[in-house]
Amino acid sequence: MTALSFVAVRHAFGRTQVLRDFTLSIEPGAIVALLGASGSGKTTALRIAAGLEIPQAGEIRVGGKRVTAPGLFIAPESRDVGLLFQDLALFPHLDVEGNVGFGLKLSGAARRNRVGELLALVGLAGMARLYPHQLSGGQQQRVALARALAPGPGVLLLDEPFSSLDVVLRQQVRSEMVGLLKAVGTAVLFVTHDPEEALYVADRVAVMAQGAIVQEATPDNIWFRPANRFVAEFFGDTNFIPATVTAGRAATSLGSVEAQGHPDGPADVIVRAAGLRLGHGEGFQAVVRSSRILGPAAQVELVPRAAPDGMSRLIARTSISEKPETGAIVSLTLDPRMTFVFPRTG
Amino acid sequence: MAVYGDISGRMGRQGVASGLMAVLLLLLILAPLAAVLAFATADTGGLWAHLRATLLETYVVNGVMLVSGVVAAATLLGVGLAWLVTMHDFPGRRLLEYALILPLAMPAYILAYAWTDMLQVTGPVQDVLRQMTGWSVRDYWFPEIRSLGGAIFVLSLALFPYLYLLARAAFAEQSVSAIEAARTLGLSHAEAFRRVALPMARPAIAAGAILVGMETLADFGAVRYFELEVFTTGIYRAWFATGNPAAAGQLASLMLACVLVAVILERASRQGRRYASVTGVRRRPARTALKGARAIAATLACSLPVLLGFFVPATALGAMALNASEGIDISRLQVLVLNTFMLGISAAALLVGVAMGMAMLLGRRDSRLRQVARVAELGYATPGIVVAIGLLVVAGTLDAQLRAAGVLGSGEAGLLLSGSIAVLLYACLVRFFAVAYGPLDAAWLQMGTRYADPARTLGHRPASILRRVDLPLMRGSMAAVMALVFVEVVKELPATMILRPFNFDTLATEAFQLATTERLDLAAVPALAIAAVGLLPVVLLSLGLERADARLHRPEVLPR
Repeated sequence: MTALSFVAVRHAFGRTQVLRDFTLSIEPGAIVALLGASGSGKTTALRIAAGLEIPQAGEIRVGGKRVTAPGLFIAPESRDVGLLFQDLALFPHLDVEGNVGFGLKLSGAARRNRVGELLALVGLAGMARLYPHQLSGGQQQRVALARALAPGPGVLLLDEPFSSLDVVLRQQVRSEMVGLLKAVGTAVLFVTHDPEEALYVADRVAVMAQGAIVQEATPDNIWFRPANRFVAEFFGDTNFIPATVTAGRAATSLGSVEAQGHPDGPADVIVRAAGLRLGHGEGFQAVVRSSRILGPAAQVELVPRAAPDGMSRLIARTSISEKPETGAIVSLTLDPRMTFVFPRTG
Repeated sequence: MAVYGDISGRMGRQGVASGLMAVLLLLLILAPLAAVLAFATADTGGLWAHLRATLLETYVVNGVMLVSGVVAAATLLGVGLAWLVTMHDFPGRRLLEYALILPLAMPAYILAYAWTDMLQVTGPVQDVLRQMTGWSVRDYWFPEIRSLGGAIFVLSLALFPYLYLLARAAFAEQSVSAIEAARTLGLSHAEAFRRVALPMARPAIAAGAILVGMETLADFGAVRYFELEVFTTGIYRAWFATGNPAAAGQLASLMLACVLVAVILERASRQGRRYASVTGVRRRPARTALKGARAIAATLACSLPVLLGFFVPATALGAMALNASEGIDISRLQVLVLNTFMLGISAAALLVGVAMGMAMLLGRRDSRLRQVARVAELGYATPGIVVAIGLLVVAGTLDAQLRAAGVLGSGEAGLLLSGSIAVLLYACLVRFFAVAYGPLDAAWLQMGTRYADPARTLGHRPASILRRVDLPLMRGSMAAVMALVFVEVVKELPATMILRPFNFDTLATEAFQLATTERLDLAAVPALAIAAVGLLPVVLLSLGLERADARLHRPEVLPR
């Protein structure tokens, strides 16, 4: 039994098709990231799961029970689904206790106790009497989380939950929230457009493009085994290298990589910036055009000395200790774990 | 990412039902106006031909002179003063910036009473003149206040603040860099005003001028008191003196046609306004500090309209009230205040209820039907007397239907609606729907599904959300709207006078009756009471003036 599943969901706003046969399942207790560019239909999928939007076709199941299907619609208030809104949408006329307790079917002391527990859980004990405008951004975030968790939903939906926070706060809140959600054990589907965030937070990542899931896998598999060129290129800088496949190996000017199952003939090789190894040996030579520090790594821009077609510029990422000087001549090889062969496009 | 509405498709049947109810409500509000338009082709038994041959020309000529006079004077005053206070600094500027909206507290008819008392032969001004010169009454010529000129004078004083507010907002919104660029390109301060600031503010000024023109056309109290022959007084005379409803109706339908044209013009000018808000730095303009004689002149120029439009008439009314204190019947006054408050509060509650209901029936997001619903705001642009005529027709028709169905007896007993408080409230609904609906619908749409969506995912049904989220969040807007409607109803004269139940008087009708029966001194107390109530929105407005939002007091004046 899955906590939440979408089965062949289709939805359009006017003539714009937002979801096309969207299918995705979330196991109980799992944290799944729904990753896509803005406008790819992520938020719509969440709203359909919550019952705030009704799809034109397909089925939604919560805890194995059908809640949206042709001829069937369970109202949002009767679903076992919690939603944390992108803009938080705390009720401005209610204090923290009023907000957190809003979805509780309890009253009096029982309600106060439950709200107290939730506030302790999110680290806001003793703040029950404050109003949303008196809280910092991070605190508001935690109140919204406590409010969504209060009724004990079987699945929690998070819509870009960290986008309203500044960079420093974001990392802190993010790791706190992951720990907290794991502790609570609720299944979580969270929407984001930030690949790094998806890889960091989720047990499984579902990459979405044009209204459908392109690949759904663990973060490691997404990173090391992208299903296609789109997924490979979605997670940061990559390089394109033309290749020719002969008998299960793809030959490029930087060496050959394994290409089991690919037919003989031309193919596309995509290598992540981190998959280009810089050395001082023989083989493919390139000039370092620029070498800059980017966060904990170095980003290196390279120009091949003898450029084969389509390769006028390459991007590599190295550790800072291996950061080359601008103008230096280096040799390049491929890290097979971050080099992918795809059928030739265009 | 776009935020989409609530449960779109599934609302299906329910959505259609609430849409239908909204349309019914819309028709109810528009019915009296439709009834007036239906008169356009009615048979008047020759009176219309007679009117056209005789009085119509007078109405048109007087109307054109009155409207153009008031629009010209109010524009000059409003725009000039707005320029003075936004771009200059002079003694008393901060206070005067707010004080200039005080005349809004006084309806034109009350200014008319006060100024008549001041300037009539036995009034204080001529008294002083005679004492100083030793002239007797026949020795000199003095302008007659109860004339076309007098009407232009009081209406300009009563209405210029609208233009002042709109022009002030337009000047304040303007990108300062445009004016600074003009100065660096060699234009003098005055040239920069004429060639840059004024053209940029023109759409707002045009909208204000149209608004003032419509208010002038709609005025009944002041022109009736001054015995001017214009459309509103003509309608009144045709219906009540000549007893020819069809002729009154035709005049009213002609007025309504004018209103429609003006509304369309206003809409067009508002659309043109977009180019006024060019992007650029929105800094507060650096004010030019005026010195010496110029500073004194500026202070005087700003004080004079405040004095003439508020303090002098208020003082005159106060003095009159004191002089007449023996003649004042306290128990009568209590009845008047009670009636006025009862009417004002019932109308305010009704309007807020209907407007809120309409907003909710139309759902939580913008739609084509919502655009259509804004046509109901037309009643606010329609003169009160025209609305009153429409209601007399609607109530009369309904009564006739009820009589025909045998529900009512014949004769006087056969009138259920005509002359009842219900019809008066209906008139308020038609006339002031825009005042309530404009801001409430805007607030409702702005809220959208933002709080309803989380409430639903937290397990609350729509009825519970209404009670626990929607209404508490709308409380502030509803209170403000109630206050605005209350004030409008208290000030409203012609519809109340025509539609009120027998023996039901309000402060406005009492003041009007006393004034027109030459008991101006006794009219002073109710008039002062109205002005006091009228101060309420002025205070609200000055609190919001920093946002330079003229629409707080005249929320959505016309259909968008």
